Amino acid sequence: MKQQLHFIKTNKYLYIALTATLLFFFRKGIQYALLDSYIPLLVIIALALFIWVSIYLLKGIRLAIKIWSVFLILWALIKLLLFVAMSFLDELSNSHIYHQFGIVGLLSSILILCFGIYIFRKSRKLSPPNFSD
Amino acid sequence: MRNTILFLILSLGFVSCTHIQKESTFEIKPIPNKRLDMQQQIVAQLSGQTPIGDTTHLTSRWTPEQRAITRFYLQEIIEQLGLKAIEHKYRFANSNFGVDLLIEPYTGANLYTILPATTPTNQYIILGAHYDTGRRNAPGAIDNATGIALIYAVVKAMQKLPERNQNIIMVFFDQEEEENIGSRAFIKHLQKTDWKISSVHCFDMVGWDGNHDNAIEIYTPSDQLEKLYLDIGTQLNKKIFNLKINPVGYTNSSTDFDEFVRAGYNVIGAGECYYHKDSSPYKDTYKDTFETVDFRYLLSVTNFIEKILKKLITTP
Repeated sequence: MKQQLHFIKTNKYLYIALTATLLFFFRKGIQYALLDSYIPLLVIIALALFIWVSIYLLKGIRLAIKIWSVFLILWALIKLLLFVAMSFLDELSNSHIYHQFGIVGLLSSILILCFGIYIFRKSRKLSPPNFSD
Repeated sequence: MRNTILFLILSLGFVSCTHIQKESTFEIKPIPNKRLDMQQQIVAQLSGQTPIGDTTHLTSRWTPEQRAITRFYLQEIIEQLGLKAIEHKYRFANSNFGVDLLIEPYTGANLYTILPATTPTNQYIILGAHYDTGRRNAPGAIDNATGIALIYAVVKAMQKLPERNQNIIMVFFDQEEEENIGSRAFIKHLQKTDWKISSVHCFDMVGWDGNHDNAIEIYTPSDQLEKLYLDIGTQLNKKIFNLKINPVGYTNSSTDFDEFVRAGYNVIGAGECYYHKDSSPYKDTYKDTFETVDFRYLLSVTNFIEKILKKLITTP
């Protein structure tokens, strides 16, 4: 456990970014579970478990974190592309989706994109823990 | 990078705190008693031909704000009937989980009222029409201010009957143009009640009669409702195009009616001849305006539906 705590302490900001983004999607998962749509919550739990297990076992951390960061970047890019498409193509416009891209919606997408890029960059620089200890 | 993230978090917090919901306040002028004037006023106000209150013109009923103003207006005109308007707010998941992961759930509100039977009963008839529009610049005069004007006039007529043996629910659905979410949510709501729904009548687009044959189109899986509509049609010498629906494996999802078919209700849909190619060419465009509505046709369909409802709620 010492190694795991050491890993978290030495990568404090990365750990905060991971937790914040996981919580963001966990909230989304719970929100949909309450509306009888359970797959989003299962997907988030699976990804969170994957990351947690990799940290706990100190194996595959870089891969797990990279997968999460790619998920975040893709999520944000798809949302931003949707917004651009809807702003210019009237036939694509849908009130329900369009009005999720107010300033708050746009900023949250940009924020997740920044988190995704930050986590991706950090994952590349992660020094692997000493597995022989 | 760290500073950028901090700046974005602070901006997000600031913007979230400054989001203030506006309250709608309008003085709605009284709805006329004469049916033609009543329907013209309702369609005119809902499609922005004349203002709601002093200055607010509804250019469309597409944005959440425009739909909130529409609900406020509908609530006011329901109360002018001396009935209580009930807002049914809902949240609804998207059509698949991939979309759920990307965006927030649907949020909206149906608006309904109950005209009670004169003797207590648990039997209900539903009259439904959607109030939203399909495009951001579509005034939605025919689609579907006409449906609203139709059921409003019918309920007003039913109020005058000395005896009614069933309750009537008049419901205005939200988000029909977005996968019928309003009616799907309303069906969920109905399933939580102990109301016995004897029949559902949905109206969508009732203002176009290009060939002046005064015909309407009905679509239903119900033999009983089909016979009733055809019999009354024969009595009134009204031309009816009948589309028989097979509810087994039914997958169509283009209007609120379809959701009631799938949920197994005794339902019928009616309107101008959309499937028989005599329907407004301006659907979902900025040209779906008050001027394009054939009010003589709307009035004729309203009189027809009034006869049907009268038969349903006075027959023991």
